[in-house]
Amino acid sequence: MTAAVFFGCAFIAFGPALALYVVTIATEPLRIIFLIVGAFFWLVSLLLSSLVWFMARTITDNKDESLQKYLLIFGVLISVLIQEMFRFAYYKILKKANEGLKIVNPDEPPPSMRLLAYVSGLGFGIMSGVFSFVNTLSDSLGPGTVGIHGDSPQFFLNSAFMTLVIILLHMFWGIVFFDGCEKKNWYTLLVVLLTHLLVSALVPRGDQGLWNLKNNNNPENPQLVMASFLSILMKYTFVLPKTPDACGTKPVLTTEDALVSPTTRLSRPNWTISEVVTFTAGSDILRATRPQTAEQLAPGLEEGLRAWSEGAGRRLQTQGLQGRDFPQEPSLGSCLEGDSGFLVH
Amino acid sequence: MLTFMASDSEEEACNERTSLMSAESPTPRSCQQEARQGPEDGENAAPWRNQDGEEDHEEDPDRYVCSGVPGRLPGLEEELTLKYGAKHVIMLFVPVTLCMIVVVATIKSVRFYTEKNGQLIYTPFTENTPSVGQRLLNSVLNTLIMISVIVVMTIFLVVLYKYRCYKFIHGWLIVSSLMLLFLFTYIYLGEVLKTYNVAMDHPTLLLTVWNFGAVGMVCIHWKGPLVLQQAYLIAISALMALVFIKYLPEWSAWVILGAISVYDLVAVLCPKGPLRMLVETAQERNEPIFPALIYSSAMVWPVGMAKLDPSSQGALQLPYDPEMEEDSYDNFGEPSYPEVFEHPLPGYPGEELEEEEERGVKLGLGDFIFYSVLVGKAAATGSGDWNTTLACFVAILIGLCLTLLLLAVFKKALPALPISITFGLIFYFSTDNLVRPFMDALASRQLYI
Repeated sequence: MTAAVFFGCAFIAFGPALALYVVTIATEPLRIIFLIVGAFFWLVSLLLSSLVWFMARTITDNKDESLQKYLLIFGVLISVLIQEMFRFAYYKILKKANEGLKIVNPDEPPPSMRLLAYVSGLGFGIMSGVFSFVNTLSDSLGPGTVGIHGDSPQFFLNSAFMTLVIILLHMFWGIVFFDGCEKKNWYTLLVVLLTHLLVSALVPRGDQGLWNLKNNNNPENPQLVMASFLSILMKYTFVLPKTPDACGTKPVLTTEDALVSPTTRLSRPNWTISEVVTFTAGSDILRATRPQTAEQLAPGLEEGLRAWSEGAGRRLQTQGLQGRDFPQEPSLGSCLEGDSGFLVH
Repeated sequence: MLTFMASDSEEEACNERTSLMSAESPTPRSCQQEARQGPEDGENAAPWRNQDGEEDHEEDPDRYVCSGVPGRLPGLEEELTLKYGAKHVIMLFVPVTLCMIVVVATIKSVRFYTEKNGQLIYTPFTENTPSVGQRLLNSVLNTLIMISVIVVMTIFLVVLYKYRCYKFIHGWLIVSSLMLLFLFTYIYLGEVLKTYNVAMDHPTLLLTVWNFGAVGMVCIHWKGPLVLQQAYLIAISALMALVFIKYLPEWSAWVILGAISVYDLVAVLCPKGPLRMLVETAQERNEPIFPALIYSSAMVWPVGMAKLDPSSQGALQLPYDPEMEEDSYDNFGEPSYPEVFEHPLPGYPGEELEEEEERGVKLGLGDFIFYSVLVGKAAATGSGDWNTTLACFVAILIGLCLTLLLLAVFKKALPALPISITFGLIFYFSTDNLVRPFMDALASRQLYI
């Protein structure tokens, strides 16, 4: 107990989430906002599910312990369902917000859906972990002896690890869920829901009475933790194939074939930016498309693109596109939004 | 009140948000200040406007949200709005979070602020009544008295402002910030030392409190580094919030929070609301409104100031004057809450100002105080439960986010209390009664959702 257990368990449970936050989210204000909105959505889902549980409990006004346990499991299942519903609702809202951001901020690329999936999953996870564990943590700071009635003495450690697992799982679920929504692959959503139910319904064995850690269920607890880590690995295997293909960097061309560093914009005084060409980089095809008009590319532009692409070892495939041919929705598998460049004549 | 500040930093003058958006005369606050903007929007040279100072004690008048309007095409305006939106939201999240952390940490560790030792004279009815109905009635009466005191003070302030009694207001402001910075700090320090059983002799105490208070007065009322000003404003907001948490009785506090948000909404948005009238008066005179009692996140100081006749109209370039802006202090005196009143801002006659102003946003200290009161009360009375505190914290941040979004959309002064306090109240009561038993049951069985 006291400070050692407090700090140890706190860092076990929240260390990775904190590191993720500091490294990836704390730098961009928009991501912080999306994180907090995600946390809020989880909070609202928790509110609704505890309302349901509370109503169920008051309706069946029974003091029977086993009934309370079943009601709690019922509450957990309802909570998982409502959480996933709110995840879906958050996905819808993020789609709308993305549209809005694209319209009002054409210069900066809006955050990709993958990034928003990660941020929202992390938001859900952080809120879930904090709500599950912070009261236990604050109790661990005070005096006491754990397991004095035959409970497991590793209560805090187990809880800390489970919290860590849940936070990471929520993050992975967020990514997989949004990917499924983007690709309209409803089985993915079902998988997320089922694994969530599986993890949440894992009750440690020896559940007799209020504290289900009686009778030295140490043998079961590692099982629990292992099951949860297997879930993490499973999630990870879902996530891996979804990394996008190696996107090309943002090519910036000039008709003089100078390949400037992708992220700089040319600003030569007597040149003007004549058109925005968006390149989609497949494995070896560089496609240059002009989104606004159906005309062919200007000859000089095409020359420059061809020379550049040949110099870069890629084939050039040019096509003039109508405005609508331009891929509208960057799917999670592409890196379209990272591929626009400027062509300066 | 939330306001945006114009900045000339990286954009051409025409991109800057300048004055008020529409040309109707009583446009509500334009919170942006355009230093370089030419007098194209003649009538509104973007007087800096921060909320009202009049809020007396309880809250600072700063419950407005104000945003300026860029003098650009509408699409670009929106672009500008959102481009600066996220950063400003975070610039407000950080101080609000800091204030709440200070208040919650104090509440959880120093027992003095959760002990009930009497009540303010503004809430004369006691809550130690035998019946629930009586208690409710007493809290409603307490609320009515408190709100009416606030309304009276606000109107008094508006009247003073209308009749240009600036010296009176300024003096009032200084007295209340003196009291806050010295007396309340002394009490707070004493209680913290008592809690941790640390002995401090009188000379050390005198030196500490004197330095803290003197630097605070200088920073808040005159010039000082921006970060130090912000820190002092957060400190005095936290002190004020702690005083409220201690001296407001239980139910009265919640009813007062609700009533204050309604009042805020009415006072800022209704055409005859005192705060709106204050803003309009300041606008007519082309003066900035009460920079005091405003937390500002601006980055830059003007390099110089030229004093101008405050009543001069016309093409006054009112530079953003952060020191005046930061001149916010809480005037919460026990007997009354003086309004924060600021001298009319000296304006530049069109000179080029220091350039690196950055866009910033301002939030009134009253908002800080009431947010912290809500979260502090959740921490104090949530039966040792951290979930309630965290839920209220998230709810308030979301409310602030939504308010800033509305600010970006409507681009006029908006009250910052209603949405956040509503969310906070909803989440407090529901988390305390519904979520807490659920989460306790789950945590005891190591079930994770």
